[in-house]
Order: sequence, then C-alpha cells, then structure tokens
Amino acid sequence: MSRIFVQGVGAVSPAGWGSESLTAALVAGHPLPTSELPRPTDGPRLQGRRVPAANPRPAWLAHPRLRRSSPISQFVVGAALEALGDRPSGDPARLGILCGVMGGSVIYSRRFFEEVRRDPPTASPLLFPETVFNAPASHLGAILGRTGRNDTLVGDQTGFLHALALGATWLTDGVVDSCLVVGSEEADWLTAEATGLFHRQIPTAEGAGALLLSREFSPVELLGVTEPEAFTAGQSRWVAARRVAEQLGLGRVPTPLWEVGWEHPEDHGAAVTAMVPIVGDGLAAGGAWACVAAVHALQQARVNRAAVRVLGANLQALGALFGRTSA
Amino acid sequence: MLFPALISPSAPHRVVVTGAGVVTALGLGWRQNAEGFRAGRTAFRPVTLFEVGRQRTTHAAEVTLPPALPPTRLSPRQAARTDRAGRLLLLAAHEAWTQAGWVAGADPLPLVLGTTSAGMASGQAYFQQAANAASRHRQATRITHYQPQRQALDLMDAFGFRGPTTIIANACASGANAIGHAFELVRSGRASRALAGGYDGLCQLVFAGFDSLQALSTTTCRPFDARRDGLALGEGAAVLTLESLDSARQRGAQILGEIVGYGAATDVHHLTQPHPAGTAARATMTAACQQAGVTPDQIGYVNAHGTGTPLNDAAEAAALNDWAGAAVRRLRVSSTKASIGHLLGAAGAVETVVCLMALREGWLPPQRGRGEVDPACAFSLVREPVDAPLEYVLTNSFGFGGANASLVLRRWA
Repeated sequence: MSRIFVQGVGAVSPAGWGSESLTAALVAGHPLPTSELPRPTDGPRLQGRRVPAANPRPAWLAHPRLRRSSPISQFVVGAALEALGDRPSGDPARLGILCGVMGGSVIYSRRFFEEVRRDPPTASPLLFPETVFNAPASHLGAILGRTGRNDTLVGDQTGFLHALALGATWLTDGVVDSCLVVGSEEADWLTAEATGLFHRQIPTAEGAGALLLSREFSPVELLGVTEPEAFTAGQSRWVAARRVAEQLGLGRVPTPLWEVGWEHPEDHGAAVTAMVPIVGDGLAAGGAWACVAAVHALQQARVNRAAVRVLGANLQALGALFGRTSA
Repeated sequence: MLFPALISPSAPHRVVVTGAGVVTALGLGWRQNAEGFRAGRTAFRPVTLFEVGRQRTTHAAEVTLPPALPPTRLSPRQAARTDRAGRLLLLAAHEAWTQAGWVAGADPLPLVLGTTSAGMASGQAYFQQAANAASRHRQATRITHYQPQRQALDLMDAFGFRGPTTIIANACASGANAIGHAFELVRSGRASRALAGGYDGLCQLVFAGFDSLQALSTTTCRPFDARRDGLALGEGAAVLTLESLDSARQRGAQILGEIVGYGAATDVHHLTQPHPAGTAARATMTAACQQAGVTPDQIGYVNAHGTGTPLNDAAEAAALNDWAGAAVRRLRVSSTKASIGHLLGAAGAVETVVCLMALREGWLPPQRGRGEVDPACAFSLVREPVDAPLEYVLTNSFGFGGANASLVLRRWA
C-alpha cells in the first residue's frame, strides 16, 4: 500500500485569506467576530462569519473564469492555490481535484430563483450555470489548466474527509500523481436561517480549506480516514461519534483532536480544539479547516499525531488521522 | 477504514451487474422501458408539476408516479416524507435490489449516487416560506429533504444496509461518474458489492435555468439532426447492483451484463460549452476502451450524450469521428434523450441501463425522426428499430463544468 503525504495546505476563512490566519485564530481561541447577513425581507436578524475582503486583491481574481463567479468559487481557488504553492506543474491530466460541499453555490441559487419567481423569462442566464454544484471545481480546473479527474462530492460537514479518502485512493491506485482536496462553502441569509432551525446559537461561516496530497515524501502523512458512522434509525449521533473516536484510537493513544460539530462529546483524554465556537459552522469547509489546522500543528512540530473528527449535521460522523513522518 | 482500505488480494475483479432498476417517463421498471426504448417511443407532455406558462417551452418528460411506494423497511412516516426525487430513487432501487436478490447484512455496502439537484423542489418550497415576510412558519424537513444525503439515508433505511455514502454532483455526468466510482470500488477489491445510480426530479429552478440559457428545444428534441434546436428535460432514476464476478457466482445470481471500462476527464474550455473538438469526450472514450481492452471497431453501439443542443452534438460528433477513426462508418449511435429527455444527474445511470437492455436483448434503441442528419456525423445514426447482437457498447455522459465520463459494457453470455 502506498503512503500518502500532505504536500501543502491552504485556507480562506473568517480569519482571513491564508492558512496562517486560520491557525492563529484557533491558537488564540477567541470566537471570531460575526456580522449581520443582510436579508431582503423581514425576519429574524441573522449572524454569520464572513470572509473578509482580500487585501491586497490577488491577481488571480481577474481570471475570466472568475469574472461572474460566486464567492464559493473564489474561496476554492484561493485555498487551492495556497496549497499548491509554487510547485512545478506536471502532466495536466495527472492532478486530481476533489471538492466537498454541502450547500454549494447558495447565493446564486437564491438570486436566480428569486428572478424566476418574479418573471421567469427575465431570469439571468449568467447566474444559472454558477448554481451547479461543480462550478467551483470546474473553475479551479480551468484556472490550473487541469484536464484529469475532477469530482464534486455533496454531503454534510464530513464531505471534506470523504473526499480526502477518495483522493488518497486515487493516488494509491495510480489514477493521479497528486490530488487537490478542497472543502468550501459560502454564507447567505438563507443558509443561516435554515441551519438556525437546528442550532440557533451557532453562526454560519464561509470559506474553504485545501490539502495537496501525493505519494512523494513530506513531513506530514495522512495515516487514515475512518469508516463512516451513519446517523440512521439505529445509530444516534453520540454513538456514531464514539465509534469514530474508537477507530481513531483516541482512547489508546492520547492524540490532539480538532473537532467539528454542533456538540462536543467528552470521550477522549487529549487536547481538543473545538472549531465551531471559534470559526462558526463552515459546513463542508469546517472539516477542511480542521485538517489544515491539524497539519499546521504537525508541520510546526507542535504535535506528532493529530486527529480530526467531524460530526456532520445529517449524514454521518467521520475522522482522519495525520502524523509526523521520519525519512 | 475508508482509507487505507482492506483490498482483496485477488483484485482486480471483474465487475458484473446483477440488478437494474429504472424509472423514466416511458414507464416504471425494466420491461416498460425496454419496450419503449426498443420502439423509439417518446414520452413528452405538458409540465404539470409547476408553472411554465411564461417559459419558452412547456413540455418535458414527466414521470407518472405510482400512488404508493413499494414495501420497504421505511416507516409509514418516513415514506410519507420522501420527496419526488427520493421516490424516483426508491422505486429504481427497489427493482434493482429485488432483482439482485440482495439481503442486507452486517458488512458495509457502499452506496454511490449521482444527482444534480436532489430534492430541489423541497428547497424551493423552503425558500418560498423563508422569503415570505408575512409567514414565520418554517418546515425543517424541507431543508433536510432538499439535500441528497437525506435520500441516501432513506435508501439505507429502506433496505436495511449501512456503508460509505458517496454523492457525486458533477452536473449531467453525475450518474455515469457514480457508476464509474462504484465500478472502481469493486474492481479494485475495496468492496465486493456496491449500490450505484443516479436520480433527479423535475423542478422549476432547473427548468427555468435551462430555459434562460435558451437551451430548451421549442420544437422537438432531435439529437444530431441538422436543424436541432435544443434539449428537452426529463426526470427519472436508475440504480444498479454491482458486484464482483466471484460474489455473483457464489450466490448463483443472474448476471445482466459486465462493466469493463470507465473513463473520466475534464473539459476546461468553458463552464457550459464543450470544446468544439470534443477533446475531453475523446479522452474519456479512449480511457474507457483502454481499460476494457477494446478498440473502437469492437464497440457495436454508442449511447451518445446527444442532448440535441447545437454545441453539444457538434462537439460529440467531432469526438466520435476522431475517436473511432476508420471504424466510424460502421459505428452505430443514438441518443435516447430523444425519447425521455435529459435526465441530468440520472442520465448516465439510466443510459447505462439502456445499454444493458440492448446488450441483453439484442437491439439498438432508435431515435425516431425524419429530419436531415447533421453532416458532421460520420457515424450511422440509429433511426429505426433494429435487432442486433452486441458484444460491447459504450455510453457517454457530459456535463456543465466540463465533467465528461464514458462507460464500456459487455454482454454477459
């Protein structure tokens, strides 16, 4: 079996553009500021954690593919480019792209449907293509000029970890030489109101996180992604969370844990970084941010093993384990 | 572990289909659909699900759902809450599951689904509540049922299985990608079985979206016709039970056909328009055939993506001409979207089932029409019902975002 290594990370989050700002916010441990998500109709005031404007504005935002794109596409590209860094480009067909989303392009979907409800014949044809789940991954592929595998996976907050496992599988099977795995989301009043039906006190957040995987040796290794534990009629969220902890071996080996979820089961003895109270509910981006933070901690030799556990909203619980490597 | 997974030492495995369920506007199930596709029937009618009076076109291939779902392990409350897209999926899955004779066990069973809009109709209903300032009523189930993971969980509950769930949303290639992903799981030895398919229900947002792009035909959907003017939308679902040949033989299962090749690539030309030369389409057909170990002259029939839009069909024709080379004159091609419309996330899965029907029953699905075939098509467009023994067939699926996928299937003798 091939070993899979993390070559780079990237993040766009309410803490700013760049993974360093995300890590700094998590280390500080203070909840990031929220702002009101404007809604066009009367209703409860909704708070969210938005991505601040990039300053300076990156040159790649002027790419024709991003001219009319929604924020989620810009976040995907921003995080992915940081993860890629200045690594030389190889065969265009040999870089895989996997993107995990939950809500997807909700801003353009809402705007387009508002136009349809007002007067269908005048609904903008510029908006509709950007509503498609795989539009952000498509833009990323086009900007990078990559013609290989490019899949978008939809699910709950666990989508990024699922994509991470699939990317590692592609590498193991030789389908690709390297793989960009991205989790992304954008915040909108509609999402905030919808998630508020389930957990009113948790602000919606937006952004993206990315990991670049390959089989080339690097200081951080992806050791595993657990078997998913589904929330079904026969298995509660707490039982699913505990089973993921068991798979990660948290009870046997004290391992710092980056946790994503609306609740935080106390079923392990090591240090825990609860992501949601600090950055908010980033939906599919949340799992990606947790992995970025865990990898950062390993890269900076703050820890030797790092676990991520994600309790999704409505599908499953999933975990991932990373470790520092020796040559 | 999802990664690294335990891999069967005897991989790669041959991957066979032991169950296939299909729902389209032609009917419910294999038999009704096979008769319809074999005759080249069309199933378009005025849309009744939402208001289309202000759109450029008012027809689609709408499914007539049965009054009740087939009996499963879903509670009456769960069954009552399923939305239209979920019902399409459950109907197709029930047929496949029953045909395969699968029994839920303790081993994880991977589920791989493709969709573009899942329960979008529920999402639309939620939005209308949320945007209505006068109403404070919100129905949380409309949010949960908008998302495809709800339909996946319902499927698991309906048949009593558990396992990794992968939901692929690669626009109109989603269904083919889902089957391709499940094929790779079984072929690589990571799973001995996988349930895979695609589904999408008609909804106003998507209908209006394609209309806004002026992609919908205002006449008749005529793929590869010289005067084609767009696609027609449809809805439906198809689900396949895939398993290793060893697994199927051990169970004594009836084998419907074999999946032997899968190719996927990305067209970076434009978000909604294919490269005029169909470069990515050519790459996926080539990759799928290489994995299958066949050459284009061995492919007896191609179920084309063939939407009926000027740009798609021109690019696909160019790709087919280039890929088949000298064999193109003997290549027989049709698009079953002429019968049932474009099923978006379900298209690739339904068209895979059409290919299984053609392989198993020895016929080619025609697309009826008297118009002039686009001279760009160097291949033979199947326009009349014809019986033909087939050994290998190929199906294409392309989508927005440049998602391209091809599958090669072989007759099981």
